[in-house]
Amino acid sequence: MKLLMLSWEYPPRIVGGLARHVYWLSKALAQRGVEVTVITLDYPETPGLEQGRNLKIVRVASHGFTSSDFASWVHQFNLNMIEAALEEEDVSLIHAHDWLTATAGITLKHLLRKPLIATIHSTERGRRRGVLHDPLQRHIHEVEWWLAYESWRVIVCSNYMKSELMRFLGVPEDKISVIPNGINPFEVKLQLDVRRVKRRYAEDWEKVVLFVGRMVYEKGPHVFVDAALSLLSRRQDVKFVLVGEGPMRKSLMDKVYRSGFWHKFYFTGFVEDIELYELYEVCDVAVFPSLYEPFGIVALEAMSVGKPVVASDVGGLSEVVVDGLNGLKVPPGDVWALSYAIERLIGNPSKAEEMGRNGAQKVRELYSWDVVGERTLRLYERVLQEYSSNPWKPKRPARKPF
Amino acid sequence: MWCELLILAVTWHIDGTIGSLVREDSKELANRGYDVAVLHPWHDDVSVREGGVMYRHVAITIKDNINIVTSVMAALGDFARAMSELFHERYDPSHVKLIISYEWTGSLLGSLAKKFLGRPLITSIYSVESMRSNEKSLLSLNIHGLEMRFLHYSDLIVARSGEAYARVLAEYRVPNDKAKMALSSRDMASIVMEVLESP
Repeated sequence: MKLLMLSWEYPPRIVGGLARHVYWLSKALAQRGVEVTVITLDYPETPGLEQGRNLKIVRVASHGFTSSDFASWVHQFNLNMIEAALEEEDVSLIHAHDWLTATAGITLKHLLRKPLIATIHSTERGRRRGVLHDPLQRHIHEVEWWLAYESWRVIVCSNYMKSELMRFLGVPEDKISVIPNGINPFEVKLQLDVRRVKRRYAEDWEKVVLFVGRMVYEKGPHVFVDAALSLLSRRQDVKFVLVGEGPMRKSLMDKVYRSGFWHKFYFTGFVEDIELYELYEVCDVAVFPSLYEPFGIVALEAMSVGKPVVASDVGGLSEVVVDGLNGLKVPPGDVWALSYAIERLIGNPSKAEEMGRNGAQKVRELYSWDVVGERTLRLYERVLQEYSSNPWKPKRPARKPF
Repeated sequence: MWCELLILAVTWHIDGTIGSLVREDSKELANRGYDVAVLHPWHDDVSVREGGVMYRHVAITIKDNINIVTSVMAALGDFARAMSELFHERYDPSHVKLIISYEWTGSLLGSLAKKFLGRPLITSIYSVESMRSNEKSLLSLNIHGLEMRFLHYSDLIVARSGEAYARVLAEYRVPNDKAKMALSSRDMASIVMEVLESP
């Protein structure tokens, strides 16, 4: 089986979670014998072509042309992707990620007459809270609809996203496959001196409560800060560490400063994976108060390290966290409930530890890339089987007819 | 019933001045014994035969666009679908001998056909961006960049006016031997025949 995987980001070009997703998925598929060619965008000082065992990375130019707007830029690099993809022989199927590679995916589907599979990681209407404000947003929404329409199967990461596709894009339920994102449990278990690391952020007697996420409204960092301030009014043996960058960071730091509890907060900004792993190890509770969350990969990261989580009962987070088993769920935006849920866990370390163990087990069983790769491969096989009995095929060799 | 010398014409415009050129050129080539298939946007996805020319309509899916560049580029998938169906239902792709595209809009789509079919691409240019617009907006620069890219990707540029010819050479630095001028469809057809008959 030869697979063309289309993604606008792939390490070292990392814009969001998609790069890591495509990286680990391609690797897991290649390990299972699928011949994977990833067509992605270039990155400074990175080779245009990398060839490994069953895995080839082709990077096409993302620059060198003027673009009047974001969509024009996207369509132009899609043209470069199409040209690169047409160099590949004997393609069995095409897998496009998000609207950003829809033009290439749909065009290649028709030229090669091979099945197209799309993963839609989030939707424009979801990201815009249901309302499309300008021509660019409406254009993206329509391209997302088209991608879903043209795809043989559509993959989403959660039941929440499945319902979003059914509501916003009108995708029939039986065309959607839910395959969760995988996570890469921190592979290298460092010989960590937890006490020493903890002292970088907190006193020995303080509990550490961790927030990880972009400092944007939808991730709810403001809810976290308000809940923390509420908790600090009842007990002071807690330190709150916020990991992540974003436009809300400065205003939240100002708020914390004005509250008089500035010494109880630590804003780290963006941190490397190793430091993030250390923070997960030293924290007592990890908190994810998102207001919109298609999946919630950070919650899984915390769970993989054996930490109990407190999460909003929203979107994909709702499916990842089982209330009382591997964490606690609270209504999104409910400061009071969040504050008391955190207090409940830090006040009961043995229960918290048990939840952490349950979470780690769930991650191993359901969310490892091994599992996700296997489920994706099974879907490819199913699609190819359906395709084999379908009359829609190239009449002659799919390309280079001469 | 189809002859085996197929010319594939690709255009974004089927009305107005460019549309007239497309129709006249196609008719002239058909009169000279070529089977011409014209791909152009329309509201449906069917084929219509008129005066010896096959007009393959291309239904355009994406209606919410930001400007002409996103409109044309987002239609790549539609043109690919139409081309694929044309070859699947009516023609053998190996019978295509030449692709003709009209303006930058058509050449964008024609370049895709060239890449896929491996056949020469002739681009007909009635006007370039600097003839249509004096402004230096980002959109205008974007179109100019696309014109530059596709003019150089084409095997031959046929300017349809003296001014277009001069600008193709001066502004786009197209080499002299890659540019010709055709003021009528008869001239255009002669140039096409010359290319087809060349070794």
